Amino acid sequence: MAENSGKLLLTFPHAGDYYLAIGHLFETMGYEILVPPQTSQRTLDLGAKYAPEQACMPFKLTLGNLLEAIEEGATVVAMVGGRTGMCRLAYYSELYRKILLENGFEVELVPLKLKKEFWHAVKRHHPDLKLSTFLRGLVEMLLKMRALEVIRERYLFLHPCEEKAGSCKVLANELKARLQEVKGIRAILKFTREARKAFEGIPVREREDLLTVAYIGEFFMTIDQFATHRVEETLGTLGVRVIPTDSFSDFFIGSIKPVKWINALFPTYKHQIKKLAKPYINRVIGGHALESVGQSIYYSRKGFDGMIHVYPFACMPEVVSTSILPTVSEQHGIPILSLSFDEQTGEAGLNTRLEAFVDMLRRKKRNP
Amino acid sequence: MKIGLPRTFIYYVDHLDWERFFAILGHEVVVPSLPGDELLNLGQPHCNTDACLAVKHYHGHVVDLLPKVDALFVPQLVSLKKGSNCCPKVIAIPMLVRNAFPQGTVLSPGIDANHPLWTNWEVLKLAKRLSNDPRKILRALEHFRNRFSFPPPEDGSGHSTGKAIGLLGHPYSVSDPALNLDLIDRIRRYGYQVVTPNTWIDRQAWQTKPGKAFGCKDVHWDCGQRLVDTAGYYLENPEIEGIITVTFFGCGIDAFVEEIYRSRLSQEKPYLTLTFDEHTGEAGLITRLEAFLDMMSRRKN
Repeated sequence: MAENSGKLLLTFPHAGDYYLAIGHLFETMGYEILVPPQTSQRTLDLGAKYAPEQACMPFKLTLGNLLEAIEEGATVVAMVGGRTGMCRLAYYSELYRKILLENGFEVELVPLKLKKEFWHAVKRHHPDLKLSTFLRGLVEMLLKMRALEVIRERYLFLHPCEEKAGSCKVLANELKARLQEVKGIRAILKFTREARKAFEGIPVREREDLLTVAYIGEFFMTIDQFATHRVEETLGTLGVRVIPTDSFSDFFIGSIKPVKWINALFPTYKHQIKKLAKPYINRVIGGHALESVGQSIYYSRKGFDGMIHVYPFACMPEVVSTSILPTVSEQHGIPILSLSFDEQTGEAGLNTRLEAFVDMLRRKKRNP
Repeated sequence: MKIGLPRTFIYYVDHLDWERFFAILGHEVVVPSLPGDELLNLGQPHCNTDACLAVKHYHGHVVDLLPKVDALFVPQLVSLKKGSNCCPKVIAIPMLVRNAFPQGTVLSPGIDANHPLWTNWEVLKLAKRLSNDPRKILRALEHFRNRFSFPPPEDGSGHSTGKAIGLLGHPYSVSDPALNLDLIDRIRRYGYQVVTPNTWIDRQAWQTKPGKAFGCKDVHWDCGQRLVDTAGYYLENPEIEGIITVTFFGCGIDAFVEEIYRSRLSQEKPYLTLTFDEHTGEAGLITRLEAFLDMMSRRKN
């Protein structure tokens, strides 16, 4: 327990734009929050310095976020990743705790998950917190996550076709700034509807060479733009519409037991993905390996032009899916580009590969 | 029927004595004939570059065995200890083998300590596929059930008598000379005894939980927690004079698990990490080993 708990200043990883929603949750519960500085090379360097050398990149990046926030005075750290799944994510919180403790950073950890443990941890800090407020906070966080996902999805859908370069980006940033101030379930839902409408107002042009790809891979990489050197933006400028396939809100909602049962019994999206992946990956092995394989088949059947598969170097489950995706690609006739990322990834090489892939997709489309 | 048994990676991970299982059912077990390093070269082209060395080596064994056998035995080890799971790559190895070699017949019963009934059913199905004699089937199943326990039954690999160097690593890293350039023999040639993770230590650790010395929660990988507990045993046992972690580049589990015990262990005893991959050269290994052993003897004097 941190002895300087006189002041509770809570922080959490940046996680793309999701800090907006996570921050809202903790503010609702009465915490003063400190958003870590925007993820940058410094974040990665700092995280890599304290993390084990062969730790996966999401670990290094999120650790870097936490360290930068601790530098600015954070005393409590909230984190996803306690005993969830079979990959290293399940041990993230414990390893953060050890590394922070050993290096003299005295902070407390709060586990962010839809379980009783979270409630108890928060109650210790805020004994007067009502359960109704706690639950409202959770619902509003999930709704804000959905709002962010709508903004991102619309942005990625429209910006390859925008008439005026940058107009989508300006709108997206404006909306995100406004979202910070929105409070209350009704207001957030209204905001989300208005955000969708606002994008309809952006002038777009027809593009004959427009391509559509699904963005699949390890979860953190698909939500964090810094980690992937803004691949989704680069693709947009190359005239490619990127369709995100996973969301943080799903991650949380999908962890509740009743939802798991529904997915097991009914032909929901998740159920279909699992079924499509079965001939290749017959069970969950951790991370997003099963989803990576299932989603490539799912979206190829929807007529997408290709898949962009992103993952951290040496990610255990994705090493498996990366071995299997070439077979999927051949058997289902769908081009898949697999990109691995770590601290050494160079942007020039990355952009070359993206351009070559997009060229190939265009040629394939012209001469099927 | 000739059943191919790759003798690396998951073969080392379990103590289930599959040779005996197949013998009871009346089948011949075939193992690879080429030396280990040649098998590694055979396996590499079939794997993703960031797969760990053990996976690549395994593929090499499969390449060697496929033309000689009727079926390959590649069990799906999901969990060897209740409450934990195996490394994702271990779990996925049958999927990887089927993907790389679609022409082969692969027998892959699921083994999951968290679902013992299902596991028994999977093994029974396998036995029924391989024999029509109900007595043999039941004997084979009985054999499996006796071996599938945690901690594993003692196999006679005892503790050291006298001063020794403790190795920390998965069984295939530590015991397979093809993958670690004959490390154990090299250390012995310098005059040291070598202790590796073994069932004796496992049984001690089951009671005393020496891994708690490092102040962390248990890891959720059975093989990983075994290393933490063995590290704890080495820490408190004065006969272990020095410790070497043997790992492969790209091993996700070791990256995290080593972090748990490394700082405390290296503060109290001479400690060395050796990371192997396809590029590891003998000269570099000898240099590091000699420097480490020098450090150990200087410490003694």
